[in-house]
Amino acid sequence: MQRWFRRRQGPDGDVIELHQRRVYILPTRTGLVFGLVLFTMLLGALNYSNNMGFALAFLLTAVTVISIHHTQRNLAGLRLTIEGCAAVFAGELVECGVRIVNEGRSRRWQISAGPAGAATPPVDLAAGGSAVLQLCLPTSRRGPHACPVIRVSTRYPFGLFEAWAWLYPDRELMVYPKPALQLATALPATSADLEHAGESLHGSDEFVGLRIPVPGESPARMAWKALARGGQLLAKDFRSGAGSSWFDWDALNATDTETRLSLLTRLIIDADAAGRAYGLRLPGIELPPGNGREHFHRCLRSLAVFAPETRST
Amino acid sequence: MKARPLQGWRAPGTPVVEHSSVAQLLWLCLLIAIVGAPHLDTLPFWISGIVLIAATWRLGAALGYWPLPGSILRGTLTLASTLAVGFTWRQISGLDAGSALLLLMLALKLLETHSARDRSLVVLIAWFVLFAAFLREQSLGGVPLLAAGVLIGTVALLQAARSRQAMPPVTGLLLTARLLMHAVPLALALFLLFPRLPGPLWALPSGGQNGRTGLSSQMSPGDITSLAQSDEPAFRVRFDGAPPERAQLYWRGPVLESFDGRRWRALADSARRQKTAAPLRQLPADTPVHSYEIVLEAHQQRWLLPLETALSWDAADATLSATRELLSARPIASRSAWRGRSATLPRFRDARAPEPATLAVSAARNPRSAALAGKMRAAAGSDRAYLRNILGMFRQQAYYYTLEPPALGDHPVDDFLFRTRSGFCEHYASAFAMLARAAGIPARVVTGYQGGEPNPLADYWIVRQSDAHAWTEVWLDGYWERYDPTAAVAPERVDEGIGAALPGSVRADLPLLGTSPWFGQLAFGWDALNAQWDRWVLAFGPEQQNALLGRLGFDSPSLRDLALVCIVTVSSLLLLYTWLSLRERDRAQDPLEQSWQLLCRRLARLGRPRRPNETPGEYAAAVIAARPELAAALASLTALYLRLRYECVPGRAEVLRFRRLVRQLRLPPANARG
Repeated sequence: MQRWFRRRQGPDGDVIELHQRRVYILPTRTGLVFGLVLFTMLLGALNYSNNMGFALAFLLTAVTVISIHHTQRNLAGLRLTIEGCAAVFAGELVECGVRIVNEGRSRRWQISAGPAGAATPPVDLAAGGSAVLQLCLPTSRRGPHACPVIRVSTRYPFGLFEAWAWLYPDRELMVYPKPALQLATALPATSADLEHAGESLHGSDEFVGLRIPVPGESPARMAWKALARGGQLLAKDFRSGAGSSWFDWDALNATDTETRLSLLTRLIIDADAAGRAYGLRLPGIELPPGNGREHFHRCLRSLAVFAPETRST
Repeated sequence: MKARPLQGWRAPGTPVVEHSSVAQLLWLCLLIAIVGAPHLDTLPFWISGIVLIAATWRLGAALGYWPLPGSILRGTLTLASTLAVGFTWRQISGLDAGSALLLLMLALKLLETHSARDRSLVVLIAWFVLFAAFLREQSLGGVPLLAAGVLIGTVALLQAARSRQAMPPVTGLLLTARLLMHAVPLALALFLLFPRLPGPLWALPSGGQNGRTGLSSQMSPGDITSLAQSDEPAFRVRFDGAPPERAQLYWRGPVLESFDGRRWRALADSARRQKTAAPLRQLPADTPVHSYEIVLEAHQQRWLLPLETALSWDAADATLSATRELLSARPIASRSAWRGRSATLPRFRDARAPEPATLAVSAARNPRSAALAGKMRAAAGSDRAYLRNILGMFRQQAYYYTLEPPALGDHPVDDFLFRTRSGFCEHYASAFAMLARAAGIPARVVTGYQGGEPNPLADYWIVRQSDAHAWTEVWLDGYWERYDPTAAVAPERVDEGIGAALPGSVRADLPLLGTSPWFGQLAFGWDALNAQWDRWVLAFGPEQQNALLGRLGFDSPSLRDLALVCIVTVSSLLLLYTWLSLRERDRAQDPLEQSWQLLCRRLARLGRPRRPNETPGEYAAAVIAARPELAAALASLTALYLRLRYECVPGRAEVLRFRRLVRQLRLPPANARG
């Protein structure tokens, strides 16, 4: 069904005009019950030849029919903009705002976004007014995802009919790998560890963060404090060079792809938080050391889209 | 990695627990008050009490004074009220019990209104309660009720469907009023053209009409006296020409032939239905014949109450019984109209010999009267002289006409003739018929109405229950002749009506007759309005629909024609409405937006129309890319538009300036690509 709607409408840009043709309408459950009530009234009036009964039944029928039009018109003609949708780490919520602008002269009432059970509280829009409806999307898997359909709906005026529109924002939601948790607990300790780093074997090298120890590594390089705080055994990572370090896929001894990606994500977050330059080496991909938001996201993006197949190339 | 579908977007946080605002509940309570009002005088007071308590409870809870009842208490209350209704009416269907149950459910539902659906359900039930009120009563007073019920109900529904706060009451009323205005033409078309059925689909209810007074198929002393206390209309009648004299107005109802010494009864229903009277022939040349239309109130009986003596009638399936009662095929369950022609004759020929029952006199009762009859018949010499003598006895001796006759014993006719000597029409008719039978003359009692009251403000007569009357028919020389013994004792009863025949002190007790003249005028005015309402609105049915279609050019309209006309009319109305509202929206468009659309249309002629998903900035950039010479003008125009549109509430002068700039923009010719 959803595919049919999508094929019919095509993908949407960032600004969407709700044309009449893409506003769908159906009776709600209350509307169906009301239909039954009207039918019963009509039967009763027919049976008793009761003209006041007919008048009541027909007035209510006419009001209902006219209200269909009002429901549809309440949604049609709105201008919608999808905002937000910034990349998040797996497990976090993607947040997006549906900005609704009422460019018409009549007020719009009770417009909400989201599916029937979990829609936002409806908003009223004055003529020329606008509002932003916040939606969120739980994530679990890293990678690029197609933006799921967004439903914008209204039951104005009587709740007997619901008009809705499907929005298919033509954009990709990027979900970065979930950062390794253990490093997160160790993170506040980095400054303390940094002091010890001065006495380390590689005095000239710079402390850049923590990493998984390589078998046979010197106990002096272990981050015992992090271990004592309940974390995993990690090694302090010192890299030589002009304040930059390489995060290398192959230097990690974890075998599981997702664990490695998690650890790399954590290392990148920490390095970025510390303001350090870093480079990323993945099988088949090499991002030279760099700094700043753009570099940060480029690295995380590479991790997010990383597929094991790329190893073979 | 392949993109995996994500779950859907949803609102952040947990769903908010729904609740009803005080304003929303107030609208619901107002609606309940309106639809409950017409039931007040027919339903027992405890039902209104429960509704009132529930409303107070719910409003108080919304204001935070006390909690709402829990589910156990609500369940108990539901069960208890259903039982109470079942106990009161011995049933839970039927009009009265059904209305009571609906009102109670309305009250209980009010106690658990939290979500929009709960609130909407209250409105739907309330409308059904209003519908039940119309099944009971559809007088003109129902029109304001209908208007208020629909208007307030629609506002209540509008407010009920809102998820958080109610909108301001005036806004709600205005929105609803506009919507109703649009709905009325559609409703009117449906009312006029929706195919009606000539008969009921299933059996009509007997409930709701129980308290009605009216004639019945038996009469014992005191029955008609109780009717005379009621000023309820029995029917209204409109004469085509000049109405007959009031003394001629005998409206024939049940004919009672069986007498047990005390009580008069009609013969069994099946017997009456099987035998039908022959049409009257050989009317005297100068017989006055009157055409009239009768609008009968629902009386749940089959008598159509024609003027004596009925010649023809248009009521479908009506039959004239052997005793010349005009009977409808079904009980009159709703106010209904029929037309008839009658000759005001004091007697009519009946070729059939009278039933043996018309001579029966109970031997065990009223021995003195029987003896009196024998003596008087012997003295009179002829049947006619004998009957005249009886009337003379009533007239000359000390017999009184009264609404408050003394109680009668085991021999009611004896008691009346020799002891109390005062009575109402049924006493005189009963005694006269019995005396005739005792002398061997077939006689029967006819009940119905006598007279009526012209409405001074309109051209029809009202015949009330207080005009109920009993007279006699006597078989003489192959004719049934009417004898009205009441006319002998109180001639003004027949000539001027019941009000004139009773002494002033008694008259004051009668509801309408004793009131002040201006109130009487008011009552007549209201009755005249109601009569018009009945005639033009309530009587609207299949025949009127056929007449309407006939005027539209259908020769013999069928139900299919009607359905077709209905569908075509309703769809064209809807199309017209859609068209009008679309046009209204075009016109209502913002002048700023109009100017922007104009700019887009002008730019589109250069070969690059705006795509629907392009923002103004993107479009301007796209045009500038193709036509760099427009860069400066377009950039400033777009910036101005965006500022006016999104950054401020634009003043009129600024919008006008934008329009002027758009119009003055010089564009290169479409083919000369720069």
